[in-house]
Amino acid sequence: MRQVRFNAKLCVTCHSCENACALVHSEASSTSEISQLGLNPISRITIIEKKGRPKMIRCVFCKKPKCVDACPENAIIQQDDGYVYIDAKICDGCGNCIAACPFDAIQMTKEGKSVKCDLCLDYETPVCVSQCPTDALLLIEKDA
Amino acid sequence: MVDIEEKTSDPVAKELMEIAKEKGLDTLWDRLDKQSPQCGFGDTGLCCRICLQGPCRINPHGGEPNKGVCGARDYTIVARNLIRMAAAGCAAHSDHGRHIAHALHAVGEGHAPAYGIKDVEKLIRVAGEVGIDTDGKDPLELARLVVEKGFDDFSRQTNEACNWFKKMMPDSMIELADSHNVLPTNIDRGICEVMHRTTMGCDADPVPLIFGGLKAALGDLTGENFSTEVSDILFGTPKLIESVANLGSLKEDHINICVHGHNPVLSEIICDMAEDMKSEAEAAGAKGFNIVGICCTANELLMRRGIPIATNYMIQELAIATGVIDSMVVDYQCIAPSQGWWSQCFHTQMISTQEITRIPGDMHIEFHEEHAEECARDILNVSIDAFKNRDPSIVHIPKVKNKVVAGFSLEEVERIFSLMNPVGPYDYIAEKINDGTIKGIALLAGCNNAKVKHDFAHNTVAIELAKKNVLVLATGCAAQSYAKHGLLTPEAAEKYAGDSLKGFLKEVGERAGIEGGLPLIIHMGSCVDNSRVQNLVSKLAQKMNLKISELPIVGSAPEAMSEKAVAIGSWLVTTGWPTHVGVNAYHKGSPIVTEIAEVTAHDVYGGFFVFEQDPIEAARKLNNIIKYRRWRLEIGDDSEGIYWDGTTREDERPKLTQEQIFNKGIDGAVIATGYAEYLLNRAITRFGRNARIEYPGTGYYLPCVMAWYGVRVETLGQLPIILGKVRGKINEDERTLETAIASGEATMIAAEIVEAIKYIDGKDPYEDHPNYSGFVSDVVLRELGIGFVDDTIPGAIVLVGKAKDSQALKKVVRDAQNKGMLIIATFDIIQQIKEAGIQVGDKKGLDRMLFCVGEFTQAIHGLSFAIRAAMVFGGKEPGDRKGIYEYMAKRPKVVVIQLGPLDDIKIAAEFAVLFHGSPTITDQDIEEIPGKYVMQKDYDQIISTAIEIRDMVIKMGDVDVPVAYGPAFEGETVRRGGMAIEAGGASKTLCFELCKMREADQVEDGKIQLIGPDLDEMEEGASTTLGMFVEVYGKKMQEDFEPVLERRIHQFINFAEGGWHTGQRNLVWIRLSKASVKEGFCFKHFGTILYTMMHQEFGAIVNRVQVTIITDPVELEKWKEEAWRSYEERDLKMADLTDEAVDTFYTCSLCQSFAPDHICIISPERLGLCGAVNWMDCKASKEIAPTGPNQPVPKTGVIDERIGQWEGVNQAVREYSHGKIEIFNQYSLMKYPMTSCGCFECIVAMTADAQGFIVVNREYGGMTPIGMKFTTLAGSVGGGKQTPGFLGIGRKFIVSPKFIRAEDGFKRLMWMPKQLKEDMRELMEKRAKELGIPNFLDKIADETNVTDPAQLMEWCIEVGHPAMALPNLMEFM
Repeated sequence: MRQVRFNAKLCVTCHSCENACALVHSEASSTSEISQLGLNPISRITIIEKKGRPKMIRCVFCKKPKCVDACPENAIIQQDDGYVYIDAKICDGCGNCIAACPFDAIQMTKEGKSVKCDLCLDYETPVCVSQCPTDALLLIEKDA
Repeated sequence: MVDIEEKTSDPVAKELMEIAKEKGLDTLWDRLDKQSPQCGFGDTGLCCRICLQGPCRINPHGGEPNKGVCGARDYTIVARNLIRMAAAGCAAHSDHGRHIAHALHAVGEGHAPAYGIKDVEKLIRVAGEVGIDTDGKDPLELARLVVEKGFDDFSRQTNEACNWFKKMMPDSMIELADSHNVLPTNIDRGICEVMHRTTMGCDADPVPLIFGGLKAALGDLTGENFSTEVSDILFGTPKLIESVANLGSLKEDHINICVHGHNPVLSEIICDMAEDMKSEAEAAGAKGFNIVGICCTANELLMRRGIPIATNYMIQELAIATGVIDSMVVDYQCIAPSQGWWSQCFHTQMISTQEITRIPGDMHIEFHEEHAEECARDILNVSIDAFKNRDPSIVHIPKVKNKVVAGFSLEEVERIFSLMNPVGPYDYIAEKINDGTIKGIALLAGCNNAKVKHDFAHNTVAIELAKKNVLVLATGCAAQSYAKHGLLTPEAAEKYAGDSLKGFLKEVGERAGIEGGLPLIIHMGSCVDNSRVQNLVSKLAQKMNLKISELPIVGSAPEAMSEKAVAIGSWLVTTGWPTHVGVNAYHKGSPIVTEIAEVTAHDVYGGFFVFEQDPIEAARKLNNIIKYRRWRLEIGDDSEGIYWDGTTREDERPKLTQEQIFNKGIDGAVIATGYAEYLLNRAITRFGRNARIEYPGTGYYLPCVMAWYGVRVETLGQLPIILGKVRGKINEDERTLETAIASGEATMIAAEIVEAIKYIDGKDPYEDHPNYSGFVSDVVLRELGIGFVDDTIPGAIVLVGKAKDSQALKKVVRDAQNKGMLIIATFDIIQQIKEAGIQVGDKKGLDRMLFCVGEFTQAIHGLSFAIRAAMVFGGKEPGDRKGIYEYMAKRPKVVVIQLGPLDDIKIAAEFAVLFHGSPTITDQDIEEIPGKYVMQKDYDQIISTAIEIRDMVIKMGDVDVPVAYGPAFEGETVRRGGMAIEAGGASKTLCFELCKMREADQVEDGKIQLIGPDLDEMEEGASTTLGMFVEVYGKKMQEDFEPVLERRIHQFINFAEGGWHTGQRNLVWIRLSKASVKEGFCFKHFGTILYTMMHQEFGAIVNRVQVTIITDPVELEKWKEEAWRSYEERDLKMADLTDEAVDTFYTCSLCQSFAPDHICIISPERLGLCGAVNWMDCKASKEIAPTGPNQPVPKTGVIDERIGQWEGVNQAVREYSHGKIEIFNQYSLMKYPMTSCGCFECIVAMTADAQGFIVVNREYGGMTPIGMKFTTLAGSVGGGKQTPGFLGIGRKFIVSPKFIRAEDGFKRLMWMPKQLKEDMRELMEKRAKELGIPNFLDKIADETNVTDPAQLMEWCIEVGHPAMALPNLMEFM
């Protein structure tokens, strides 16, 4: 399964990954279009600073995901290869997963759906990786 | 919510934060928290939005992308962003000044009834200072004229300096600014130029970009100075005043008006009107108006009116939370837009007043000076209305209020210090700095910044400096921090000041009538009033006859925030202040820009930036810098272990990797060439393309340029192309050892150009410098020539930087001197050498092989000295790059010893040296580049590492005497004043020396005897009889060698530091210096020296040496007879020793290590051209070293006896010149003459009319009548080439019967320098007599009567010179 590795030493906290993530998960095609369309997209990743070092908050694809257990609707599914996704059609926005996630990696949209990093499976490379100007994010393959 | 305790040390903050929290208001700190982490590209300055192709960002980690879309590199982007900030700061300050000037002008024209001229005296003084004739002019007219002079500074289109810059700066600063093209000529133009320079597609070079920013910054200073002065004229010059500070100054029963911003032009009138309208306030139920201030508006009003300071920038929001500020009246600068919504949450009426500053949520009452009173009245009325809306239940005034003693304008400071010393205030300050009562002066300035613990950084830095007895001056928000915390009081001085500062403040303050003394910190005003401090320091520097950059001063902005702070910091640095900044300035993304700010600025301007976030650490560095500068001025304690930037040798420095060393070398080349190019083009603008450019005392133009490019540079206009070409060799994209070394070439040329510019039009920039020699002339090189070639001087070391301590350095220098090395000293090492007590003499070390060349680019003088060896001795054609390189790689054997921290320019210079094959040794932690850049931290091992790395041959053994011993001291003289004892010579005591060969049983090897008293029994300054007797035995010793050995006594004694010996035989004159005697040097050591050196030099022919030194006059008489007899016998023998009397001449190829193709043929009547080797020496030398430099030449196969040509000699010359010379005449100058190595004592040259010769000795620096100086002549003679018409000779050859016999040499002598003639007079008269020419010496012209060819011809005809009757020299060709 693909994974994204974060290198704190190379991160300059420019938030390019957050912008790219929010954009790619919205209907807009450019950052400027976001405001034109009046959208309010959410980035599934967040860069914070902890103990003076950058840190990335993002779904880590736990082997035993607490969110899967917590979801009363079984809207969060773990595949055999370890990939975990939220089925937006099923999710009713109860927020249990958000409370259960030990990494604060799940957010709620305005429309009332839980969202988290989906590793941009539609793209050859996750956009956060391709948009990182300092190569602080790296796409790797990891066994389940 | 943030933890307020970590954010500020202001005690009011905590309680007011509670109110803010309740109201849901966020503060500057909260918003910083929400912004964090802030974008790293912006933070490092690597985000470029200057054109619409962006935003472009450079990877700060060194990877891709490393250039913007247009190709701008990191330094281009960082420098552009940075100088735009400086320009904006300049715009703010200068526009502020212009604004007040408009008000003053309006007063002059009678359009501003609310204002008057409050300080007429200052108006008249300032008018005079800017060149206005004040006679008979009334103040209103003068006000207009002064303002118009100021307006000139905003509009001038020519290149003269701004009036308000010129009037405040010492000449040295104006010249520095002018030569570096940073002289402000028009404030607006400086800003405009920055905007233009930085726009898309303009300047991309970091040095010119930054210098452009500095020009704008100096414009900022100009604007500030103008602003302060017109403010003082209009509103009065501040005088000592007391007030209070902090929010406790708010009054619940008053209408509180808080004025905020920077410009007093409105707030002054509000204060006036508030008094008028007191009854209206009372009518509203208040006791009156209470006006308080924030930021510099507060400072302006405090200084002139004693209006309390409410708070500074950082607390501007929380001040509103007191609920008691009825109106917040803002002008401009540092007004947080949050003021808008904060005031809306309370009853406070926010009023903006300036056309360029409006805040949403405000009421805009635009201010114009024509109707200032109406505006003020409106504002007061609105405040009364707001007061009526005040909600008493939420009023919360913190109970914090501190006394403030302020009002220290420059005039007030001068008045107070004048009370202490009637001669003048600056005499007093200078005296107190010199005697260490105050260690130095610090300017604490600048803003608040949410990123720095508020007020804490200000207070900490100031207190830490004051503790170490630094006088702290303050302005701006820094001063307000001290005001709020009670530090502007004598009580604070009592509590925090160091002992001597405390006494000083108390004494001065009490004399001025301030109870308790002066406050701990001297408040000098608002941020434009930094000009007051600059004026003070400028006057102090002039009084102390120093540059500002030499004074023990430091600046600090621990909480810098505004663009104005960038401008102030930049001009502080440019005018010579080490300046601390407590935050980063969006500069770290470019190592080059950082280097220029932190290091190169120091080399160029003397000031530099210290970026340090920890205030304790910052204060430590600043105190260290003061200590360092005091050390440089020799008024302080030592500065052991402290470097110029305030760091110390204990500080941890990361180990430099090879890659970093390459980077720094290449970056250094970028900086150096950018700098040279900027200076060069400025010089061309100022002096013209045809300005003459020439180093004094060389025939090699700009030696590095000449050697490597073969170009003879004579005018400035030739240089841009040379510099441009070499600049192209810097490869920034590939950073390897090879590219770093290649860029060294560029650094070399850059440095040479920077230095050469200083010598423009015949100036000698170092003539008056007490320590630095600058350029080293050819004469010095030629004098040392023989020492280089015979390995007495095994090599040269270049000492760079600052040693860990001067005693450790002393050991290195002594070690090098004892091994005979030439030493080139640079940077702080020069002062450390002095400090260690190593004598450099009165010629800046030039006469004792310890060249103190100088700092920064002056180090090039060391390289240019070495490179001339290739042309002088090596005969390498200028421009023969391969030849030059091969020569330089082998000799002279140079090693750079880099002590103390490494920086870009130093490393780049070291690559320039490496470009010539010479390595560097450093005491710093590095990843070594084997054989090229190596580490040696043990000072005891440095010299031996240098010897190993270059395979130097050390000829000098250890001589066990208590003073240094080596060729370095041969040239020193001991003058009467410094003399401990003398013998012979002028003292007329009996003094002689003798070397005798004895039988084996008569010589006991190692026996050293002193007969008579030694120095400890003699009086200082007395004279004594003295004899020195060397008795030797050796199987190969011959009686003929006695004089050879004896003649060397002279040199052996002179090699000792403080030993001075001249003459020979019974004409000896000896002195010992006081300094050497103090070290324990005495006559007994002469024995040690002679014993050791005789063995060392003549070990092959003498097996036993015994030395007797006699000071007892009776004992000495016993030797007299033998000595006198020996002298006589030798003279008789020498008289018979003619060329005809021997069948063997000798070669001397001693110089071939330096001049590989030159060969001397030495005959009894022709000594070596260096003057140091005669035929007898050669004979002895052959015995000592059978395969050595002196080989017998059989005088077989006569071809022409008169001209001196023999088949055998021709063969030898052919062989030893490696086939370069085929035919050789021993006695001719016109046909196949002898070649030269370069170290000749004199040059003989044919005159223009080809009738005669001139002789010129290398000590003579003037012009000769053939239109060339010695240095130029020498350039055409050296290097092993036959040059008919020119000949290098030893001076004694002039009086030899064989002196150019083929062309009647002696008779043709037409001109020689007067001194040479005098020196040779006796011998020459004797020779003239032999030839039967009466009064010949009177017929030889000298520089006092003949200076050009025409004069020489006239002279010869007039005196009837015998040469005129001889055939023309061309006939001999």
